[in-house]
Amino acid sequence: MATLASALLGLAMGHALARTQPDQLPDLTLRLAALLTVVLPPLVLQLVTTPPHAATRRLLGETATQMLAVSRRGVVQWTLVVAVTPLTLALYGLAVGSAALVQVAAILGGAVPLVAGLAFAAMLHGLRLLAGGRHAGWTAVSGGGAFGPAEAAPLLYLPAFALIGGLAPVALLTAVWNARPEWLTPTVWRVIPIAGVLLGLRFAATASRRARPHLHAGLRAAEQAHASRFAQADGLAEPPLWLTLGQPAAPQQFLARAWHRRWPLAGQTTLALVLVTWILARPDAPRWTAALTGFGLAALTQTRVLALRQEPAWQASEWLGLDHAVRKKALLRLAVALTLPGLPLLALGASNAFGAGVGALFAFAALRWDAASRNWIRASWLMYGVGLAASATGGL
Amino acid sequence: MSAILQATGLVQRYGEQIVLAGVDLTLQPGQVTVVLGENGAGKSTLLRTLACELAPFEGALQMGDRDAIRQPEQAARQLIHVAQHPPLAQQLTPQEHVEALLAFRGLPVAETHARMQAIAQALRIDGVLNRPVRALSGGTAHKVALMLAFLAKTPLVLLDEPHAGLDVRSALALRGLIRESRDAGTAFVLASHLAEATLAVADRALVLAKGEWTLDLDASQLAQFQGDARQFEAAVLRAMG
Repeated sequence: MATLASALLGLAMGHALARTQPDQLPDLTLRLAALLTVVLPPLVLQLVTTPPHAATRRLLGETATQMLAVSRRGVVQWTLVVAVTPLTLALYGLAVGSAALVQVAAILGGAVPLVAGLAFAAMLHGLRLLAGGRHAGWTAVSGGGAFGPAEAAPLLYLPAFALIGGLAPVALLTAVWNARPEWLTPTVWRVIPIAGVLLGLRFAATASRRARPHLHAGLRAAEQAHASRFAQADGLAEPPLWLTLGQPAAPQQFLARAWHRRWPLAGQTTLALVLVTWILARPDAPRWTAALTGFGLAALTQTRVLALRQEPAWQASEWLGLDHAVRKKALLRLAVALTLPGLPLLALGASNAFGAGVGALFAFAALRWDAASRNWIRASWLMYGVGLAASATGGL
Repeated sequence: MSAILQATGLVQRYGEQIVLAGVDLTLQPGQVTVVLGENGAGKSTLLRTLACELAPFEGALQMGDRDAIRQPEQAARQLIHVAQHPPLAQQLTPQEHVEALLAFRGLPVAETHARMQAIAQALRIDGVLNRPVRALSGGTAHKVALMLAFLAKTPLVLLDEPHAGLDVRSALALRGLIRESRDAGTAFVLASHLAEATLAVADRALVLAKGEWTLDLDASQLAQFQGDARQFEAAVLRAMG
């Protein structure tokens, strides 16, 4: 999925650049670079926490506790913050013309992927040891400590780490652009992004081919380790206060707890998407693009509530004796709470606010239906993506 | 003593196939009724109908003094139905399920907690009360559902294949828990295809075949089979046709 997204992005980038006048180039490139650096990590992180990948993780034996333990330690959040913030700062620095800010951000943005890359290499090395049948490899990888299942869980976030590692050239490019803009002629601008994407794809294919046998063997060993006595349950995450609207009442708490443990990153994802929308939206883009983006984002946020109705937790609440009317009220409250991370969208303009309002109303109405909610989520993603692309390119 | 549940002429069908062909059933407080039958005989359908999850095509269903067909939600609060795949929230722990049960049904906190410990120890799940359900094996999750059913303190408990996936020790513990609740006045309906396993707790045994009762044994008749489960199985097999 991420590879396909990268390929499509590369095509779109080449196409857009080929049609762009030279005086528009820096601005468009800035936006496309932002698209690469800011959109994809949250997307990939979102993907690794959505059902197909959760199923893979279950197959590996990772329990909800371990997923949440990872979440609690903030591996994903810190990755987002540490990797995305410098890149965003670099882009901001470019916009305001601060060379120092760009350079500091570029160094940070380069250092983080380097560390992530080294960690990736160490993990692969450990998996190779496992493939050779030497269980001591777990200890070796962890640097002497016990390498239990909870510690193994970050392995499953490798795609996101690898992607962030691949963003280092983008940070470098922004630094070069700032320090020696004369090097970056229009021809270079056309070649670099396309070549970068192609090289990235090539690297991903090669790494995947080489790592696959070791990964398979290693993941089998991880499965065994997860089923071992180390599989302790502790540190289960409680839903944040904003999700329960500060109400500790049992119905709200039960559903919010199940929802939060099922989709722990949903709030952060919404915030990240608002940030992305803010960075990419062109002021001169047609209003319908902003409205569509807002609609897609609101629908995406709200239809996630519908997904809860397809979870066993929803049936469980009825089975445990929760009154029908109370249950519907709790679901509605959850839907209202989930609009909170999207509120900054309202500050982006009237068109965004209008689209978000219509999207939220549409989704609230859909709460009454028994819909195929996962397809609704996909449709919402699509609407958001089309709206954002149109908004970033000035109406396609 | 007034009946907890009274079903009259229940008819259920899937398309052209008739699953229940006018079944009558009366349940008294403190009575354990065992419904036996082959796979696909309609035992689970009967339990789902009694649990107000499926509306019957024909017939009447009275829960206490309430018409369960017209007021299924209110009637369903009088019972708990442990299906073969009970709907447990996969991300939550058994302990959190108990807390929800306490709040949703307004149960006494201290008494329920004490009972939870006792039942969990009897079923040997006291070590997993703080693990998410998704981390539990199928058999353990089944035991969690049974524990919740006993804690709910509803007048009627419907158990579908309660012995499925249970080890011998847990099956014995389950027997003890059913007896204890029965003595406190809870009525049970156990659907099973294991005649011998249910004989020890049954006050009444019914065999469902081709949508009808083909055997109905009361407590005194069942007492004659105590100590001779083979004869009981033979009688059940004959009734199954």
